[in-house]
Amino acid sequence: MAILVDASTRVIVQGMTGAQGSFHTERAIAYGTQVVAGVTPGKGGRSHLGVPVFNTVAEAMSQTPADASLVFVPPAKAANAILEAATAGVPLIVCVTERIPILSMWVRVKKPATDQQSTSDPGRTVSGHSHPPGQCKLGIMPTPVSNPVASAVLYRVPQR
Amino acid sequence: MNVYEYQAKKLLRSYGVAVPPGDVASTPSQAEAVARTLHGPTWMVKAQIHAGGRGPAGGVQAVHTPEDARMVAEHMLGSQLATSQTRPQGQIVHKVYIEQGCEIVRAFYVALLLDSQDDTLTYLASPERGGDSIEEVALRHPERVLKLKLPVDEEPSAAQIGELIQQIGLSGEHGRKVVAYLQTMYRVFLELDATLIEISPLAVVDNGDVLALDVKMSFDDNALYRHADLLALRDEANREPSEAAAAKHGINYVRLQGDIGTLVSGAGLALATLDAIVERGGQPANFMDLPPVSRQAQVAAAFRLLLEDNNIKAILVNVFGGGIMRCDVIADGLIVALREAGNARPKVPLIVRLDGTNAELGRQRLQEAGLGAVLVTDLAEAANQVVVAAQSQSGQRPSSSLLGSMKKLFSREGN
Repeated sequence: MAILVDASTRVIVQGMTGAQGSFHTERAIAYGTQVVAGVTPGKGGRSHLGVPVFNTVAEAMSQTPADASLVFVPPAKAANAILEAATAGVPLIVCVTERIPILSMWVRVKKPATDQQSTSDPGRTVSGHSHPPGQCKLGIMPTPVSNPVASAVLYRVPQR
Repeated sequence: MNVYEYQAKKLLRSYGVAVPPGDVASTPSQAEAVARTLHGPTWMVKAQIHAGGRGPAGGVQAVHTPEDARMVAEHMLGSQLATSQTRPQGQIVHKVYIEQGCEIVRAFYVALLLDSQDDTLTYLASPERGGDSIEEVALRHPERVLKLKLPVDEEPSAAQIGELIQQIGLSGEHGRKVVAYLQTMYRVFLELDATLIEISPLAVVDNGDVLALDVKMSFDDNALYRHADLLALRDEANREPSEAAAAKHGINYVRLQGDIGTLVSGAGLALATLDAIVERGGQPANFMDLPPVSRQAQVAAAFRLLLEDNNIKAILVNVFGGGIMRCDVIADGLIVALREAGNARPKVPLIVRLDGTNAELGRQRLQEAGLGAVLVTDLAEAANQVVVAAQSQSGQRPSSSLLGSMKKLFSREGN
């Protein structure tokens, strides 16, 4: 797989205002990631961690075009969030949420994602991508291990 | 989540799949009363447990009078039924299903499942439904288990299914019925977030009917929040108590037969941890995957499961504060669990490997609390230490079978 993210990658964070979203967005920004927008329905118009928040991904994409979305949305709503990002034309989606119902992914996300080939990586329960040193962190990898090396595989995730 | 045969049959019947007349009973006299409402000359008495392989284990018996149904039920109810798919001690039979017997002319295997190998919904069909389980047939005669892989979210056509079942020798009127059943299975699968629907045997009986004689259904635990009706079918009575306690706290936990307790966050890391222990001659007492969003109380509950297990001779905590899990939360959970148990230190050696997010903070908390934990930073070293600690505690090498432990992990039992 090619290099998917680098210093120029503009990132939207869905669910940024939540506890997990806040924690990891703060670290991603500190790492050097260009977080350009957050999306939380009902919280549009605010600013959180110095980043503008929008109600929808479409709104965020039109105001602050982005290359990737990082999804921190609880299981029951995560499939919809991924679908929303795919529909809004986000090219790369990373969803860290665990325990999303299998059929939600299979029926509601996989189908549109397969049809719309502009979107890559509509997985779930992934830890993310990073491009060290200090350029872009798209996920929940702890900063201390994201140090510059030629390449590294950090996770082994059993498929289901 | 698995449901009992009687629950699965009731569900399928409500969707129009034909099953033999029958009802469930919790007492011998109820069993006799149910039998009297059905026609003879044969009645089946079937133990209701969350596992297959009942026939060879004596959990399915044919009787010829309602009085005999009562006698067999009396024998089965309250007994522990051990089959090839249960724990060695078996499961307690709390209910029996009384069903009208029928004369089988031909029997088949059909199933619809999510194949995790390639992420597809897959029909399985086989003309083999003799003494062998479908797993054995697949192993010995893979060509006799036919598959139909479905494209994402595309309802299979009658023609597609017809082609599949023709290959197992079903056509004509019987074929049309089975096509309708398999289409129904697809609908049920999607509507109820199933992960497996298996009809085995699906039988053509002497009066020409096509009946589902045994049905197994499993549902996606992660989707139960949107199926209150299915949640009502849940029965934890036969779960290993520690597994039931773990489930209450959202912890993925499987009891194994060794003596090294493991507390790990992340299923992949948990498997790697078990591998590391086994490679060094140790025997894990459990598989544990603590959800990454765990709070202190959940970590404490997880640790309590290990502290209260008398078979455990040493504990390995292996947490990579990857992502959402933070090592200080783990440390605080361990401390709280010990404090609540009224102990300053665990009774068995505790080896802790923390790395990643807030690892330094976590180690610092543990040191300050004075638990006597051995802190290491490397998994290989942690595994070495815990295996040596367990062996010196027990005074000898544990003898339980590793294969047994692993079989349990990947068996079809469980919830």
